[in-house]
Amino acid sequence: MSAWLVRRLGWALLTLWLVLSGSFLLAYVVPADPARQMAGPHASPEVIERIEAEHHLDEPLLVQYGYYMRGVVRGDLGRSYRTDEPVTAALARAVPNTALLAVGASIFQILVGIPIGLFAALRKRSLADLSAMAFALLGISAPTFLTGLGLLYVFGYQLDLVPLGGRGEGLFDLLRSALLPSITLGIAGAAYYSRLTRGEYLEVAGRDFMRTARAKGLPEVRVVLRHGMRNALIPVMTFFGVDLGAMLGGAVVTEKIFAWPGMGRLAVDGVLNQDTPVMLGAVLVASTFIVLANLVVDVLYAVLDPRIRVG
Amino acid sequence: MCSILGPEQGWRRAGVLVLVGMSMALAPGCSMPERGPRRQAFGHDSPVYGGRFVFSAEDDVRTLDPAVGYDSDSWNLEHLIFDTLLAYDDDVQLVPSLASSWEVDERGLVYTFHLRDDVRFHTGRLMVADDVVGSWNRLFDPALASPATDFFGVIQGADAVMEGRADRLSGLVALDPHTVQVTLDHPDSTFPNIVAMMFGAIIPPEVAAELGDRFALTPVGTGPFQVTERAVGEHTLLTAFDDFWQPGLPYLDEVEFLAGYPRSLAFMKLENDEIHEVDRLTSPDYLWLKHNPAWRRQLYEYPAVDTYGELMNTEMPPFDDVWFRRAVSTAINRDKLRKLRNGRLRPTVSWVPPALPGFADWDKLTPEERADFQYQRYDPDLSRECLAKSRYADGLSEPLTYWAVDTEGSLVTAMSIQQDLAAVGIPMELKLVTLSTYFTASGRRKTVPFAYAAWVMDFPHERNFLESRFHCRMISDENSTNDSFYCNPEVDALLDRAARTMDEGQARELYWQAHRIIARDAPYAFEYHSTALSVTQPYVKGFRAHPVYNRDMREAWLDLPEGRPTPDRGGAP
Repeated sequence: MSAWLVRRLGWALLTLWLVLSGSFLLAYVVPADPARQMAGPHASPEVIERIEAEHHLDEPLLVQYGYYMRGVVRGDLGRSYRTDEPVTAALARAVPNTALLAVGASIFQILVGIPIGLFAALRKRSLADLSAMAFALLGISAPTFLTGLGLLYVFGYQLDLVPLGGRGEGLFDLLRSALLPSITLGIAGAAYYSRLTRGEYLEVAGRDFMRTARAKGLPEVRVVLRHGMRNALIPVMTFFGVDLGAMLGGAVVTEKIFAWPGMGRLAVDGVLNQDTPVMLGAVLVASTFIVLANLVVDVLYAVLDPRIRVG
Repeated sequence: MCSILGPEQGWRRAGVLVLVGMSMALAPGCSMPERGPRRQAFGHDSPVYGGRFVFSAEDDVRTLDPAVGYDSDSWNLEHLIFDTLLAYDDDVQLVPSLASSWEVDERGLVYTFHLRDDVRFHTGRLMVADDVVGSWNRLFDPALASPATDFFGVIQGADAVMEGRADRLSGLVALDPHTVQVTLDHPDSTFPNIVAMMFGAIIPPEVAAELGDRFALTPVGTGPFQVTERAVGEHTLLTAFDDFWQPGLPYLDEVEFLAGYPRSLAFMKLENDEIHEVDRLTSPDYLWLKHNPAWRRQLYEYPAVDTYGELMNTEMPPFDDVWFRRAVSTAINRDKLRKLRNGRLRPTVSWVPPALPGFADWDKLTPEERADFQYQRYDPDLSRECLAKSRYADGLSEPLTYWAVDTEGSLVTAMSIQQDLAAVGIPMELKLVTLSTYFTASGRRKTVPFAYAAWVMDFPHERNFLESRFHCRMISDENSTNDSFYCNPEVDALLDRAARTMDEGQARELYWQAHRIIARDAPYAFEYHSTALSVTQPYVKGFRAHPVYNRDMREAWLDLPEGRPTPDRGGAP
């Protein structure tokens, strides 16, 4: 197990290095000059030259790459071209905000998606099943910007139940402000999980061990939850882990709509402002979460299904 | 409880009520026939104190360091924290601020500023002349790479400092604690305008040195508000400075700036009475507001100090032919653009905006002047005549390539121009690029032939508009400010003479001559000046939508019942 884990960690580091190097190269080849972006459209060539020198932008690609990677190894991701703030400080502020949304969305996905899927599976081909699957189709198909704006309009603007965007101060206001963006972020996942749970449960329901459990005289609730759902949830866990990793990397549209100061907004602003250090910092954090999530899911497989062994 | 309904009927009724409620919530026209402001002005006769003024923007400001900030949003916030020696009044005229008076010698070389003796920094220390010397020397700190050097570089000794041969500006001297003398390299009649730019803000140099990079987050100035909280990307909270040098000001206890709010969300917050002002609206919100009697009263529209148009690269064919440039310029229907943009712009024949003295108003031009400015006006017949006189009378070998930026304004303009040019027989293709790519490419020689471009003022003076875009000196191989690469020695001579003469009337005449030649040579198609807007809550008073300072809340107050008659802030910081 430990040798397997070390090997997987090695691959994870290699993946991160490749992602970061590829992103650095992409940022370099974009036909735009960050110094011009920093200086503003009216700045003279002399001012732009001074900014280029200050940020090593006048150096060859390999030298710039060397400066950057040396910083990364030391935990220094550089300073934002736009605000001159250390990128690590910006990330430290954005990651907890995004994590709050990701956790909220995950809870929503689990609490809404799985019960609906199970409910639909237990009432196969009934009106309830049809309604649940219609919800799933709608949830998956509806674009986030539409869902988000709709929720904001109804619950924030018309009913005045939650704040109109932004992050609240204090625990109560913070949770209140995170409610709608979490739901928006979680709706598509919940819808997908409901379909997945339904399909998986229906497949498991006809298996021999389910018949055996019932033949033993176990209560139906225990048959469904202990025997049926434990098996049906394995694929759901796979998606859940990867989803959580991706959400921790930033929810671009949701954060933009709700003015939520998280990773997604930071990344978009970095790209739009040609702010390479911020952009690369966001890529590094997002890819780290995804790689870690994959790793955790692999380990969880073994926990959930004793037949699966790693190493 | 007794009910005439059975339990099932009760549930059905509840369900119906929920559905009706949701429908009402989703149908604003039904639920709120009059969507007006939630609170009205209380009716105080004179300004009252207290309250927090909240406003927002789509992006956070880049910095709060006045030496670095070079965009209107940064300047907007900095204007609350800092003061400059000179400032602008409501008519965009220079007036004393930290300097109670100033004078210039006959040669236009030596400026003397007499400072107020009652100005304190937020730290409590009195401001003196050495602070002016320190603040302006700091602009030349290589670590800041300040764009201000383009403007303050006219001070004697600036070259030596920038080349590392000196560490102080030799032309900047504190004569006594309340007098500063500035000697320029050459006469410059616009130096007072430069002094009034936010780059010229006076800071306590020892605090800037101590804080280093953190000065941009928690800066110290002499303005009516001081920074108490700054969360980059989220919000900035300013609180009233009790020792502000203008007696009785500010009225507000706090000003909060929220960052990252899209326009649609900001407008919803305005309607919900969560913020006090918005200055940008989506087109649907703008149109709705214009037709809503309750909100329409709160809308203030004013001409921005900018000019938009099309750059035509005079070094690249077919734009190296003046007759072809004239043909393109006269083919563009400016009034159609106005309609396409919901009337939020003013078509123009002038490069200098209406707020400035050198503005060319077609209705007031003499026939001789019209002969020059006619090439900046929609006239398809004239366009065809010009095309016939050009080297391209028989047609182009390939369509024009027009660089458009992926913004609503640029795309609408591009498509409109494409139709206009097709009508006179000039084919055109669009090339869509990002703003950052455009900025880089448009300053590079022989790269962008034809594009949507603009000039937004650095300071309100025609020199800033004419010289920056059309002087040969502003051309360089990379990062050229003169992006049409237009070079006319006659124009250069007029602009140089105008900048150096201290006779205001003569300077105006020289700028006017240069403006006429540029209009005639058409390196740009001058198209329109944009219309800025501001929507405030009805109880917001004293707020100025200013051509230079944009959203100016230094003298704003909230006409609400809880307003206090005195500035006593009960120990507020």
